[in-house]
Amino acid sequence: MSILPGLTELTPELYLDVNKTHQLTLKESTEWKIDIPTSSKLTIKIRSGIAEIFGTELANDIEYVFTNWKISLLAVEDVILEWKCPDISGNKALIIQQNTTSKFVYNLHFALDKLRTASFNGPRIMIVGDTNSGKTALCRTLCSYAIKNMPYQPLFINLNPNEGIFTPPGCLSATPISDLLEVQAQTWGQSMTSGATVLHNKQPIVKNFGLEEVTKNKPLYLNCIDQLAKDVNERLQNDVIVQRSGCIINTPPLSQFYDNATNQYDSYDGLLKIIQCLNIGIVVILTNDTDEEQEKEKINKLFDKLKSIIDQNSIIRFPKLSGRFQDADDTYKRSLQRAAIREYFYGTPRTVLSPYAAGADFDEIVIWKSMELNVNMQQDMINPFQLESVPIEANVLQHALVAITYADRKASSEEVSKAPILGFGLITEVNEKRRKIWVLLPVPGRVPNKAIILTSYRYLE
Amino acid sequence: TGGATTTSTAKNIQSRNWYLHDTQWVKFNDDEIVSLKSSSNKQQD
Ligand SMILES: Nc1ncnc2c1ncn2[C@@H]1O[C@H](COP(=O)(O)OP(=O)(O)OP(=O)(O)O)[C@@H](O)[C@H]1O
Ligand SMILES: [Mg+2]
Repeated sequence: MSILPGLTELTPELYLDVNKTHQLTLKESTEWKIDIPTSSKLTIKIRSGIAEIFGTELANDIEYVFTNWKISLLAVEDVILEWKCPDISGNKALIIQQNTTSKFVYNLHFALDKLRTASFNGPRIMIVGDTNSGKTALCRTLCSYAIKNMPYQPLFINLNPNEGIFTPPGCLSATPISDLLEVQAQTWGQSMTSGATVLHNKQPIVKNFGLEEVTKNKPLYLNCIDQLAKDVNERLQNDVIVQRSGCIINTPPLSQFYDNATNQYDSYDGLLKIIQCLNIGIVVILTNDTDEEQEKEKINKLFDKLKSIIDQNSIIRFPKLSGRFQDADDTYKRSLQRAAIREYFYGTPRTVLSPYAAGADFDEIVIWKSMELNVNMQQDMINPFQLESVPIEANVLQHALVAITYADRKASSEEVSKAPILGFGLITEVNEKRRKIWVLLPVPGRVPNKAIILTSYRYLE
Repeated sequence: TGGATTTSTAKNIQSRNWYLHDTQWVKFNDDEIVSLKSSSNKQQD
C-alpha cells in the first residue's frame, strides 16, 4: 500500500474520541475499501472532488451514513473528504488501493450506450461469475451510469434470490431504473410507497421463488424466470424508453448451476435457458486469469456453451472487480437479507414506513410452500411446481417471511403457483391455544383474503 | 446542489404499497411516478 497524502499530518491518538472527524485525501483512481463493523455507523462528507460508490456519485458537503456494509469508495478525481466512525480507529487502519478495473467498466458502459443510440431495441446484458466476483456491483454501476447523462430507463433484472434488491430476498424481480439509485441503500432504493419520497420509488415486478438455493428446485427457479420473462417482454413492447435502454441482468454465483446429483456443472443448461427466454445478447464473465486447471476448464466449457447460442464477440471476459471483498461470507449475506426485509416493512431513516400488525384465525389462512427436491426423489414421479400445503404451527411459521399472492385463499395449488405477487408479510406470532396468527403487513388493513406462500427466509425483530 | 441526498429532510411517515398486478405492471410507465424532486436532480453539473 502506498503512503498517502493526509496520513502524515496525523498525530497518534491518545484518547479515542468516538466523535472525532478524520480528514482523508484520495488520489484520482484510488479506492477506499471500507468494511463497516457490524452495528456501527460510518459518516462520510465529501469536501471536494468526485467520489462514487457502485457508480453513484456522492454530492459535496452532504452527510452520508452507511451501516453494516462492505463498500469501496472510488475517487474519480482527487477527493478530500471527512469521515467519522467510532469503530475505525484512524486513517492508519484504512485500506486504500489503486482501482484497476474502473476503466473497463467505463468502456463497457460506453459500448452499451452506443448500442442504445443505434437501435430501438437496447442491449440486454447478463453478468455471470463466481461468488464475490463483483456481479452485483457491476450491475449496479452500469445501471447508475446509464441514467447519469441520458434519460434512459434500463430494466434491472435480479435473478439471484439470495439478494434483496428493491425487494425482500427470495424473489426474482425486474425493476426499471428511472431515477437515481439511493447511494446509502444496500437494496439500491425503495419500492413504491404511499407518498412522495425524496428520490422517486421504483416499481418492481416480483416472482416468488422462496427457497435459498437455486439447486433446491432448479425447475421451479427456471419456471419463475420464464414467467418473469413473459412480463418483461411485454413491458418492453409497451415502453419505448425501457426498450431502448435495454436490460442489465444479475445472476446467482456460477456454483448454483452445479448439479449435485452428478457432481458436475449441469453443462450450464440453466444459464442457456435464461439467455433464451430473456433474449440476452451480451454475456459478461467475471473471471481472472488462473493457472488452476479446473478453473480454466470450467470457464472454457462455459465459453463453448455460450458460443452455441450467442455471437462469440458478445461474450466478454472481464476481470473480477478490484473493489470487491472476497471475504463476504454467508453470515454477512444473511445480514444483508435481514436488512432488506427490515427495509421492506420499516423503510429507512429517511423514509420511515409504518407496517401494520393484523390478526387472523387459523381457519382464515391458507399457506403453501414450494417443493424442495432432493436426490432421492424420483424426478419423473414428481411435479416440481406443485405447492405443498403447510400446517399452521408455530415451529414452522414463527418469524417467517411469506409471499402473499393475488390468488384467492381457496384457489388450487396450480392457480396459486401461477399467481402474481401482491406483497410480503411477516408472521410475528402463532398462538396455537387461541388458534390465532399475527402477520406484519406493509399496507394497512386485514390480512388479505389471498393464498400465501411460505419462504425459507426468517426475520427476528 | 445535491438536494436529492439530504439526510435531514422531514421524516414523513408512510407505508409501502402492494405490488402492481402483472397486467398493470406491463402497461406501467415510470414517468407516472411522482417524487418530491424531479429526476433531473443530478448532484452536480
Ligand atoms: N467497488 C466494488 N466492486 C465490487 N465489489 C465491491 C465493491 N465495493 C464493495 N464490494 C463488495 O464486494 C463483495 C462482492 O461483490 P458483489 O456482491 O458484487 O459480488 P457478486 O459476484 O455479486 O457475489 P454473489 O455471487 O455472492 O452475489 C460485496 O460484499 C460488495 O459489497
Ligand atoms: Mg451478487
